Amino acid sequence: MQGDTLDGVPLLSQTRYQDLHAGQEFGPFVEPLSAAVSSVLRGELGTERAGAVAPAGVLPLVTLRVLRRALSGIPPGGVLLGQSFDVQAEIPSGCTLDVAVVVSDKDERDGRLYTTFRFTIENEGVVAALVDWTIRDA
Amino acid sequence: MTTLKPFPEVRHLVDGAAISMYAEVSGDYNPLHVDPDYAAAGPFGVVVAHGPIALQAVYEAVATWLGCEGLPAGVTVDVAFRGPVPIGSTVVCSAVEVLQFAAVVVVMARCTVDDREVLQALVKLPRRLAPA
Repeated sequence: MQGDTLDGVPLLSQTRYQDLHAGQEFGPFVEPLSAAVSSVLRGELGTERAGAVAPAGVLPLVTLRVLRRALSGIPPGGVLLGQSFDVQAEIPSGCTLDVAVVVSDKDERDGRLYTTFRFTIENEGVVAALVDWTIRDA
Repeated sequence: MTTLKPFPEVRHLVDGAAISMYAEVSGDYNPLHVDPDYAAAGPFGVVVAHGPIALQAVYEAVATWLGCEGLPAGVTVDVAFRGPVPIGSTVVCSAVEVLQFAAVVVVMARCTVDDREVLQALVKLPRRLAPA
């Protein structure tokens, strides 16, 4: 991390969830996944366990990284309400993934804004997982 | 109905080091997670973990139950985050119920912190993957 950026992307976004619109697409982004990162996501954080196949914990991690890149940082204050994961193929513990994201839904209820993102994760041209995130603007 | 292998209980400590590590690998430095002063004035009054950190306990439980490293193709997981995980908490994941249908098995799992529910997870898998 350097100052207020990480890998050239601001830590916090100037984008607000209300600025986004349903159908808005970002990417695809190339996301390297290292075996070392896979190892720390195989159990309790702080422990490491090597393996050939990436643990499921890479799915929320990679999508979080991509969301940060898509929105030029993380909009501050959002609360993660739900995630869903549809696993379609194994992901190697070390590989390069292509991740596309679309704003799949926006909904305002009781004066609060709910934004859903759909991520499509591909490994070597094959869809490995579909991931949805729903965030409520705090 | 087949007798399935019991779904394991998994406990994870979510301390400051775990939250810092997740911020580092994810790039998510939302001040709710990393800035004690900001978090103190926020909705939870204290630094809280990134949502996916609690999910780690679910994933370890499922992987242990299935005897695999990752989730096999055909598995879906639907997660509802019910409450914050304050720094220093121990997250406990356990199964509420395991339901068997003709083609699928559904695990209703939950994570708690001090008996307070912080996460619900619905894990669906093809019946052939369920461990007997």
